[in-house]
Amino acid sequence: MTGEKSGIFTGGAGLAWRRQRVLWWPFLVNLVLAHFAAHATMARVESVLNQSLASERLLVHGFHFSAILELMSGPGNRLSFGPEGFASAFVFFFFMLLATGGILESYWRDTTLTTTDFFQNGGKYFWRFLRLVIYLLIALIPVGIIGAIGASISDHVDAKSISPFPAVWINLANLLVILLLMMIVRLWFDMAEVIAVAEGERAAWRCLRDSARLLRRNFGSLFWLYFRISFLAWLGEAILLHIWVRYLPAERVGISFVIAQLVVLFWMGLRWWQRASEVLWYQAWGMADTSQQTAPADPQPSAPARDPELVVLR
Amino acid sequence: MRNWIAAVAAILCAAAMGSGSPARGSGTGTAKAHATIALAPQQSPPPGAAMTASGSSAKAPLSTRIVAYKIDAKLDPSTHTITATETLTYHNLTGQPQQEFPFHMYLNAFQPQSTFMTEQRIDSPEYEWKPEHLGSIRISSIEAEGMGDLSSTMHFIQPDDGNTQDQTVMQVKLPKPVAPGADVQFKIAFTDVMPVVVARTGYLRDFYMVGQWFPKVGVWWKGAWNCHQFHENTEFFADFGTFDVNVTLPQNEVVGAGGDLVSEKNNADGSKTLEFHSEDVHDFSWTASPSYTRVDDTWTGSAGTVQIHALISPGNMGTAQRYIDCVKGTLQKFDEWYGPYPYDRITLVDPPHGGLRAGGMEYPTLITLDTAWFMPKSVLGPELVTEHEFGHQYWYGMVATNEFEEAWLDEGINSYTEVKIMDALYGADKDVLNLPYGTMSEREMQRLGYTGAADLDPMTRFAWKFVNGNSYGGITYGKTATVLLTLEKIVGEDTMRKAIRTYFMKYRFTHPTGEDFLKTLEEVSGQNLRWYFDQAVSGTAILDYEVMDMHSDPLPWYPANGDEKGSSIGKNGFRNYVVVHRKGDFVMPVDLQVRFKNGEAVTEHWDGRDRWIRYIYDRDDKVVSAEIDPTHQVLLDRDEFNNSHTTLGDGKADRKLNYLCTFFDQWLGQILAWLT
Repeated sequence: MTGEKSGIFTGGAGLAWRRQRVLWWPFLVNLVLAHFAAHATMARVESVLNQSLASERLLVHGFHFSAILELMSGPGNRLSFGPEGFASAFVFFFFMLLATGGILESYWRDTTLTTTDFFQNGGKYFWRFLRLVIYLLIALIPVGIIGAIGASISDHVDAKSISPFPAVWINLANLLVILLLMMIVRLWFDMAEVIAVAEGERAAWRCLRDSARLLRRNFGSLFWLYFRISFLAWLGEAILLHIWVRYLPAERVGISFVIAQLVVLFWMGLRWWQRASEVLWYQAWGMADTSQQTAPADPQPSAPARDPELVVLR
Repeated sequence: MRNWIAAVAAILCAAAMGSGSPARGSGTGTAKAHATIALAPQQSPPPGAAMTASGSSAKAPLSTRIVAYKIDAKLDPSTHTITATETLTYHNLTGQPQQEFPFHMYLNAFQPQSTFMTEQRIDSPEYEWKPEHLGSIRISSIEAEGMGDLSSTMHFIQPDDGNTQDQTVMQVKLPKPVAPGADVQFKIAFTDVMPVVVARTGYLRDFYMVGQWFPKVGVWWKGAWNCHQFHENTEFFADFGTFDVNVTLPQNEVVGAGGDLVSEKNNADGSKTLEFHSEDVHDFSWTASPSYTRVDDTWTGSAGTVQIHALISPGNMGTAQRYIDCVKGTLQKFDEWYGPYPYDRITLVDPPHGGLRAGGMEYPTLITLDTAWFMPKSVLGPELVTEHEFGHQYWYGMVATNEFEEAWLDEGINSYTEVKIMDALYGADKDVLNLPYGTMSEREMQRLGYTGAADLDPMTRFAWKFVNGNSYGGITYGKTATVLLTLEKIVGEDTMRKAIRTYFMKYRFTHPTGEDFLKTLEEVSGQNLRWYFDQAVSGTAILDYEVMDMHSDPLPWYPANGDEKGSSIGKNGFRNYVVVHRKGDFVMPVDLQVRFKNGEAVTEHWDGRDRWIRYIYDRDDKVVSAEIDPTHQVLLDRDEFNNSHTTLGDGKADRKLNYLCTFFDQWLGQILAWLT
């Protein structure tokens, strides 16, 4: 059993790789939206940068922070970050809300969906997933409260303690707890989305209930799967960022753009790997578990509700 | 004071990675704090003792000693109070009889109705009063030797704003005047309640920074008492003299002070009493904490050996050597460039985690610094604050200008010398941040401070009358430094250094004015600089030049007779036009460098008096760039980006910034997408 579950880890990577089309499109949408937002921001400063010798300060020693600060704070506030960036982020958020259904469907079937199929599925799950986002925000409230309690304990200890260290350690522990809780909440909602797609469940709360049961019974297995990929993502990001800032000469603008995009792509790729692994996990173990909950008399794992022949792991 | 540097550094340090630091000194010794350790007793006389102000009263005074304070203070950590008696001998050198004497009572600033707190609320409306912010100084008795009790004459005055609730200046009246040349001795008993550190002074956990803590007499200056209230944006002004201070406190406390330790004895009740002496200074502060780790070092300069005592708070030992390296480098540069450091000690106080408000402050021979845990070497916040606060030993400590009325003379000149010394010690382009992906220089940081508030207040405005703290900081620190850096272009760097040295040597241990400083600059440079000072120092005019137009026209621009195809157009090269525009009202001569496609460069000099000037060049090639101030010395120019125009721009800078914006916008999207 352990061997098969660890196979899901690599199987998820394989599934995400085979269905990489569903990664490239969101990546490109993210890039294009951000590009337009950046273009709007840069329009105010473009001519200045292209015609002034002072812009050379952006091409030495990485760049001179003072040059950017001068562009931001100088006469006319040429470089001002307006609402474009937030607007593009919101559009991307809604795009992802629409796309997630298609992505999960593609992973569930392990097949390449046509564009029509992809967006049909996206539309099919859109409102369910929107409700899930609302529930997610509600679920994050207690996490915020726990964070606030931790901060207040830290403040209290800081006020009472002679040493500054206990309060700082409490703050650090609090941060780790928050991070852990956020990962658990995300995993819970990830599985709820998988259940919505796998079972065709329309009620978001039922998805969440079943997902919570699943998570409670299989916490070690699921969290280990999620955490390992998250850890790889953080590690990879750190390495890429290190290469970017340490080894790329300031004037190598094109290559630095490529590295920057690799940073984003790597992050998205590993998140998609998580989603693919969660789908595979559910196909291999979750459906049986869910069946046990709904029909306790039948202890045998059942096949996927749809397209059972597509289950990857044996 | 320099808290904002550390704030900037703290924000940026999270993204930082390590790189170089200057060479280390030698002779460092570390001692973990324990009950018997305090600063080393009086040092042996250094070479050049005649120039040295130390504990020995045998040496010739360096200053005109007007005051002599003897204070016995006892700290009670359980109530955060200090009970003390003070004997002040005032030597009347005012040239006239004196009957009324004002005293600073600065701990009373930490009360909600004070002028200090009122101004704090104007600048920071979100500031909330907390009971632990309360500080006070209460006099239980005051008398004058031979004249009896003065308590009935004691009353608070508010010379600056008339806020009757403010109790930061107290005045007493003697029954009879003190004759010119005579002494009067005040005997005062008082109690301090220390606040949690709000500004410069107070306690935090077991840490005490005790500054502005005793009744301090005002200064007779320009024919009147000068004794201002405590304001948010002002610091201090006092007369030189001697201090003999006994501090009694628990035996486990590690103590540092702005004086030499003369003796130390343990008392039967578990306390200890430390006796300090200091002379030719105008203030006395001290600090105590059982959690300090002491690191000692020495530096020898032209006036002898200086003992460096660093008191490091828990978690900050990683920065200790950085503080010491920086202070040694700074001592060396000040000694070489501006004049000798005559004291035999400097105490570096590193406030504990969370005690930033006690950091970045100067007192005579004692400075408070600040850092953060895990501070990367590439963020030079600790070095900046160390250099800056040590610089105040010269500009405030010895050249004791009136910080209330002419703050630019200490903070501003100090910011200028800070730029020069940080550049020399850590590299001109990277002496604030030296990260792999970006750098920042001290001179640019000062300039940005100035450009953020360029035309709001003149440098000469009284410190508490600036429109807000941002303008006070930007003008007093940033603009003054930028004005003096720009002045280097007019008089030359070497002349500036010589002038600053002359000013220091001439006015140390006195109270010079802005006019004294400006006159020194003119005398040393041999130039009439009033045109510059009137605009830069006393005025608020903006200095901003731009290349308004740059283009090339073919010669001839029309076809010759019979040349129907127009092939004769441009046969004789090009007529190139460059127009320089003075956008601001500040008039300053500037250089203009014009470059042509064939590599030829022409440098013009324009007096800048008219609003604009057009240069015309007939050449075989087109003009490719025009740059005002090509040596980048006119830092007062508010907008560097409009100082040049080029046709050779390859768009790289634009693309680089564009890609960075795209990257950040992408991540904004990724963060929101985490919710889906």
